[in-house]
Amino acid sequence: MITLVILALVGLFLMIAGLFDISRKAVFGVAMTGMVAALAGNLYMWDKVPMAYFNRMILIDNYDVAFITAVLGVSMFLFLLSENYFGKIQNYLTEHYALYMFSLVGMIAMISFNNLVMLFIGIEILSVSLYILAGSEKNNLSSNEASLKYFLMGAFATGILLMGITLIYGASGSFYLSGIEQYFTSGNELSPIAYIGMFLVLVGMSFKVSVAPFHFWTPDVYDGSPTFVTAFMSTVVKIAGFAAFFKLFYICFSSVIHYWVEVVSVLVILTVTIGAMTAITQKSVKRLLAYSSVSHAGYMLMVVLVGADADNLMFYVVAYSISSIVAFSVLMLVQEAAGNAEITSFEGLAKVNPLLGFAMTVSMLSLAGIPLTAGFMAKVYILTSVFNAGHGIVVLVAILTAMVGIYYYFKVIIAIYFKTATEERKLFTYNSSSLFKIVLFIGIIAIIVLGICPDIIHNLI
Amino acid sequence: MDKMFYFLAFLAILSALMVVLVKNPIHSILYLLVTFTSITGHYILFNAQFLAAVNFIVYMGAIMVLFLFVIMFLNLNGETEPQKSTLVKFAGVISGGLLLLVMVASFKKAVTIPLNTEVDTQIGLIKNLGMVLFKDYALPFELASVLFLVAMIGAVMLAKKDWK
Amino acid sequence: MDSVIKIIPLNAYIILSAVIFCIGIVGVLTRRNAIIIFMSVELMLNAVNLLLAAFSSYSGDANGQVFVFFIMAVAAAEVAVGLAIIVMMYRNTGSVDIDLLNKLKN
Repeated sequence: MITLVILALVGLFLMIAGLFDISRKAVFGVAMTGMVAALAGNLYMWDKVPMAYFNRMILIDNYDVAFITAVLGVSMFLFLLSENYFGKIQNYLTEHYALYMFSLVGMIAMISFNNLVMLFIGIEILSVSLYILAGSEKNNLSSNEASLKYFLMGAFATGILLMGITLIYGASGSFYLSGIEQYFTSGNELSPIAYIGMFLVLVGMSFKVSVAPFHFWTPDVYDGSPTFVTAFMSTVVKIAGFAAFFKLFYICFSSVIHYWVEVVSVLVILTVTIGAMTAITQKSVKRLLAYSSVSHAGYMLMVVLVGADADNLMFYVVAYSISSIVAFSVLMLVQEAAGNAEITSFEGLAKVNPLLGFAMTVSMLSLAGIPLTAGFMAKVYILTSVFNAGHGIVVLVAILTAMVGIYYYFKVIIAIYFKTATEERKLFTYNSSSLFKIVLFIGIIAIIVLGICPDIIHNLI
Repeated sequence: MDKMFYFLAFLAILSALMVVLVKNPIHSILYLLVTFTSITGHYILFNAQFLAAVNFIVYMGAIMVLFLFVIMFLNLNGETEPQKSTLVKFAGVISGGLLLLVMVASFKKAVTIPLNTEVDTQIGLIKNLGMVLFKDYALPFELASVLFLVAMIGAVMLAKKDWK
Repeated sequence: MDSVIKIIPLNAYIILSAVIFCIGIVGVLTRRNAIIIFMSVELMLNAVNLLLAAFSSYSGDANGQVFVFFIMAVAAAEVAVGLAIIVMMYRNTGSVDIDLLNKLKN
């Protein structure tokens, strides 16, 4: 609760601060302080009795605290790497910061919702801020396209989600999670209205978290947006999206799992396969990461499929987010130096700048799921639970596509270590501050430490 | 009363179809306005007075004027209208039709709430809704203001010309 | 004057809004003008609003009508941002055709 208020106030404060001539460092400082304060307020709620606020509009228990911590922690991590991104923004700097703060407000509402109104408003605050951020490079056609596509698809998905919510309300007579849960656990025959409503909600949420076959907007949007925004969308936003997705299905629909389990397992299989297959042919690392985020969404959806083990989801999103952020931060530097995000721009990176080369390698290994990295343990946990739940085919497909995944992740690693840079590229200076190096270093250590002793985060909830 | 319902329903469906079918964007908007009017009519039939008023002011007033303004501003008309290939159109109609078929077929059986003569018809009055909105839904109401701040930033940031 | 909820069955409203909703979906899938696509989304939202109001009136529960109020608020915010995005795109390309951007980029 206090987290929500702090972030909203910081956003408001930043908007007003834009009126005055305030230095970039100060703006950054205010945003970071706000996030630290919000995080502290959030951690204070850990292991308390679940608390409901405002007539049970939001309800905060350990699940919510854990995911809000992940969202805030990952976005702080990302913000530490944001110097170059914010440095280039000429107009509306404070407004950009305010949008990030407000989108965090949306995410927190989405994670801790106890009433579908909160889920809806949270998703909308988040989406509307992202439409704007995706289009924030106004003179870049790709950015325009990303914004427009994201907006049209997002609005369409909202329509479908709302129809689902409406039908569920029509059947159960309530927007509160407890009321809906009661209806579904009552054991009476489901009304067709509830049945169709459930599927429309599934489709709407799948659109929002880019699960195949509703992922078709993802590559263009992720590719066209400014790289920092892409990193934000594919990590922080994904955490919030899946936290809400899992919570909704776990609380409301898990008692009628036999109605939707086949559909979700088909979605999982489609997502991991399409994500991996389309990533093979990509020549741009940014697009590759976009497709890889689709196939990782497939793994996160597996937790929804099993309908239990929230800590597997927690571990997966953290491992995936840290690896992605390290990859995106190297990508941002390379993109700035080389002017594009092609794989060829990474050739010989290890010789020119060993730290960046090594960081990219570690993150690629983690995303591919090679042992001793966080990504491997995350995949092991999820696949074990899926196997135990009796979805052998899903596990088989996931393992096969993970092998395909190794191919395209290694394409980047091979470019970094075994190709030589052109003369021109050897002279590139990768404009990384010492703060940047420290954060990158922490990221690498976190990936390896989580890969060796995953219990630090796993089993927390 | 039932005649009124069928008339408004017919009007809503017909004008909704025309929104999608006509070529000229301005005509689309005018048909959309007719759809909204008939939906407002339905709200009045429910005795949902507050919704009828808000629908009238927000949708037909603010939103439609904004649409119309943008279309006029960009000078769009039937000639400039891009068309999708027939195949895509056909696929779109088929998938929409299938969804409709599934929904209608299953809803025909759905008897959720029996016709109830005891139901309170006063819930749609402003006094009633105000109590619910500001007591139970205070937090989402406040969050809606955050949403408007975001929308305000967005409109200014994106639509305004850059200065140097 | 007798209220409609005593004469017309709820199913009539469910089917009416399902029809409008599907017309909206067909509009999104078949048109290329970004503004018309967005108007089709508005049609979908209106179908949802009508259905929510119907459920709420027929069961005598005010929550549904309050939800409609929130949907309207969100729709207004989305329209503001959406039309800003469309204007921005028009400024750069001189068109509101969603397929044109793909071609221009390559």
